[in-house]
Amino acid sequence: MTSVHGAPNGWLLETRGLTKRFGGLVAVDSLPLAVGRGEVRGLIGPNGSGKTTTVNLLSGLYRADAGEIRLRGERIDRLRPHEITGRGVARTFQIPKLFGNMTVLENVLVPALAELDRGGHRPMAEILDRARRLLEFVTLDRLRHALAKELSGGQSMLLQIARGLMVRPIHLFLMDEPFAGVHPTIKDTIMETILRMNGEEGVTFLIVSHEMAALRRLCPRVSVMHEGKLIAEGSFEEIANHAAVLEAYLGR
Amino acid sequence: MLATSLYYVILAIGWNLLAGYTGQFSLAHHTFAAIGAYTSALLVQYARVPILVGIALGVVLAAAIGYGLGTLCLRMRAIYLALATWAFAESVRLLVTVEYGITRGDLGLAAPFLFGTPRSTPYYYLFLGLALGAMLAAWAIVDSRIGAYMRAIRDDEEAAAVMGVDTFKWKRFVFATSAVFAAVAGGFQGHYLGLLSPTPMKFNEMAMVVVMVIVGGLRTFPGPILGAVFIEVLSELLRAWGEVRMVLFALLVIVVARAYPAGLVGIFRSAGGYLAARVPALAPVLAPRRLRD
Repeated sequence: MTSVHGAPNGWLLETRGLTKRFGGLVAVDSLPLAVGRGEVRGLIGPNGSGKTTTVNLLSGLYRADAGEIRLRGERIDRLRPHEITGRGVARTFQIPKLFGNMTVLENVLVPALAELDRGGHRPMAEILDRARRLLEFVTLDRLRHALAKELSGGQSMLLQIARGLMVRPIHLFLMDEPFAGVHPTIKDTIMETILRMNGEEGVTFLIVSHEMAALRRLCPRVSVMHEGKLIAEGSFEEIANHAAVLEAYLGR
Repeated sequence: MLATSLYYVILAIGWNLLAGYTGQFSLAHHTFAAIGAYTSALLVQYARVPILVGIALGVVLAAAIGYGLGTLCLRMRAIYLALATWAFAESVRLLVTVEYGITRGDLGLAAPFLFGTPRSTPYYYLFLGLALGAMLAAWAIVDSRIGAYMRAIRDDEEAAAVMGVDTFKWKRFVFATSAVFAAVAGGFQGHYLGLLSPTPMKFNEMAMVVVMVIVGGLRTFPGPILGAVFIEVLSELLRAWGEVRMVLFALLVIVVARAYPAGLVGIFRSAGGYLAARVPALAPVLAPRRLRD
């Protein structure tokens, strides 16, 4: 693993002992997750294995009960969601969470407007230019004046992705089930977007998904969770033959 | 009556910023008007400050309390926020009623007339100016990036937060700002009526503001303006009906919420759309505005 600027041990994202409990249930259990800069990492596991909780911890919506999260070497586990976003983390939700009464274009402008509040100085022309480019890329530009609540499920997912890519700087993009229930054409658009943003802008992705075919195409490495724990990590071939993974997915 | 309509216009505009645009359904808006009015009247009476200074200090105090109440309600969702703000409103009302040694309670606290006369004409112009100022201020907020933060928070607070919006900061800001609208209106209204009592601190008053905004059009810019004037005029016309008016208004709210969620503004807009479709020359005037790029 090559050294990453700002993170002495080379990881863009690193969690240690990350734990989240809900009452008696340990949803995430001492999770050690490490993602290198520029990686497209898959995060898989059976339902209820703690994947979404992990994403919620990483984006600051949940506060960890124990452990730490480091982004580029800096602790972010005590920060509020907008502060984490300000350090370059964007995300999407499994069930799209859009600003329904705002237009498609206004939706993608929100991260840029929020950046102005943090003292950003990007000129509006540049912001609009990127917004339009991203909307064009995810095939929503012709709908830019439609209200977000009028979009279909797949279009909503695309809009979430375009909106997340408006976060500046962007180091890490967390995606929670981006392919769930979307049309194959849209699935392709999402995969293209991920590969292009990874290639052109070096954005690191952590993708929670059940779509093995898509992950196989996108992710050289995947991490596997089961009952809140990290049980395996490696290439698709490696984990496909991993005893603990087979057991978690297929049962004893 | 005109001055009073305009007073309600200011209250309704402020509440629409908080409840309509930001989704914070506060039931303490009328209390901030009373805080503005009582602070000013008390300071003028006991500290002998000039009326305008009293009003200004009332506004500052209301903003500070609004900020504090907003902070208290930061993590509360819909119904809990409504309950907490209602409890706050009742506490303030009881405090004013009970502390009659200072506030004179139900006997009423004298507030000297701003223009030295109870004649309503100068106050009408004053409130016209204040209402116009409130409209401009609200427009400036809603049309700015702050307006975008507010609408994002209302539509989905979690999404707003992970897209970088400091939701706590802006919710507090809107709480304090709407308190300022109410306290400005309340402060001047006190020095127009000449006598303050805890009666307008009752829930009825808050209900009137809610009715005005919902009938006019929640989360629309002209909604609170139309609604406040419409309901206040209707209320005066039906004065003989007494408390039965509230039943009528409640029915009106139910009908509007069921049939025309965008209120009077929605009705006008559909009428405008209908007209624009038939008379194309009118379309540019009637078409609703949307962000252009």
